[in-house]
Amino acid sequence: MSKQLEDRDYVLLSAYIDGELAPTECRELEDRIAKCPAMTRQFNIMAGQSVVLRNQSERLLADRVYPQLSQDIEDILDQKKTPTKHFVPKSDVDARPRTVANNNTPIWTGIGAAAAVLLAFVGGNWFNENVRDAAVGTLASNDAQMFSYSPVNNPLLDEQISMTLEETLSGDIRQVSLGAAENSAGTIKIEPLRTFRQGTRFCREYHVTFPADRLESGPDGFFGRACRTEDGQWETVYRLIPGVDLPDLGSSDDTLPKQKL
Amino acid sequence: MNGTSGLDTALRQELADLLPRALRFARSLTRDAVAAEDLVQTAYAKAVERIEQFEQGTRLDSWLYRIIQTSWIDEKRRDQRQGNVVSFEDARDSAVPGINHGGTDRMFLQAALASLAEEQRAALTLVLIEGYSYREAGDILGIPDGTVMSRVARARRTLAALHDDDGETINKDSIYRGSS
Repeated sequence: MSKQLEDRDYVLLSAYIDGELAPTECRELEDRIAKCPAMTRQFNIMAGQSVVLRNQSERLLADRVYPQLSQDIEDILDQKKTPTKHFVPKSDVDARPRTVANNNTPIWTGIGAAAAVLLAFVGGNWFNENVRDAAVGTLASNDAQMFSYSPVNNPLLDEQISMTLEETLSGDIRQVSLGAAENSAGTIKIEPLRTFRQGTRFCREYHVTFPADRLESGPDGFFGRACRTEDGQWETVYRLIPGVDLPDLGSSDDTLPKQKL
Repeated sequence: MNGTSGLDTALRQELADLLPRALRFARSLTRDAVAAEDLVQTAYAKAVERIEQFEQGTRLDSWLYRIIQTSWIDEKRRDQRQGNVVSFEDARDSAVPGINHGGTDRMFLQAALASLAEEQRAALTLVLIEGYSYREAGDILGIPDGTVMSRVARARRTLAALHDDDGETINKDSIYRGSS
């Protein structure tokens, strides 16, 4: 009996485990399994892995389906208007319905064109030089707490976004407190929305939500996209901040260095 | 069924009851929890639209899975124009774990399953996890049952090979745990 299994042996073993062989084929294979150590070992591995995978997957069925998803499906089955894609956050965060970005629709379309702006960092310091004069200019205040809630010029927030993109799965929400905001009632929530590959780089889209009870005015949050560089840095592609006039992106220069988070 | 004023009550309930399994299958395709939820919603919406095409007496779950599968293919085609959606695990871990696990460790197998080629993972999921026959899985995936057989076998062979790669460094006794 050869110790080297052939392609067909793997097919037969797999089909045997799945109950897809005819009785005569079963008996023949069982004889070979009993007499050939290589077949015996391969069968044990395949069968053992199958048992574990099946048992583990059965446990997945017991996982809680987010109530909002269940409700969305109920609505669909009742032939109501198809809900905007969203999910219910985990129990440690506010139960606010939110949109997600992996529906092949640009994420900013759900915000409203008049209230949204695509802030591209492809122009290097373009953002820093121009946004101060825009509607979110007040966010660049030196006030410590306000600075914590600024979507731009905020190294602490950038660091937390980068850490979240590196460590947090899509759909999970990371809550952070930044400096002076630690004593405030709210925390900043950072949620990776989806991960995708563009060219050779992995990119992620995310949503940042500022506390509703913060003292200063400004956007409630923003959407962003960043791509991971070879050295492990998350490089911002854009941040989409509601309430800011759309800048002229035609002036951006791809040759300039991109901003790192 | 009543296609104009709503779903038949029993059919509606059966579709609702299928949600956890549909979500599990969608996760196996997308490998992303949020993308899976979106995929399931898309598939359910299509199912309601096409409910007249469902043949009474056939398996509703197979029919729904087929819609999930085709919806996922459609979505991938769209994504290819903008960038491929991949799971965050792909971005962070390009290889399956290589620690001592004995080949049947749950976490290892979960990662190993995710590392399979998508066509193999879909076939293995339908057959091994969902319990479909090769013919039923072939109907869902739109391929011959012989193709399902070979894909499932290749998937198992890949998983077993990962076990073998690691098995040289582990206690041989652990290799056989979980076998029957």
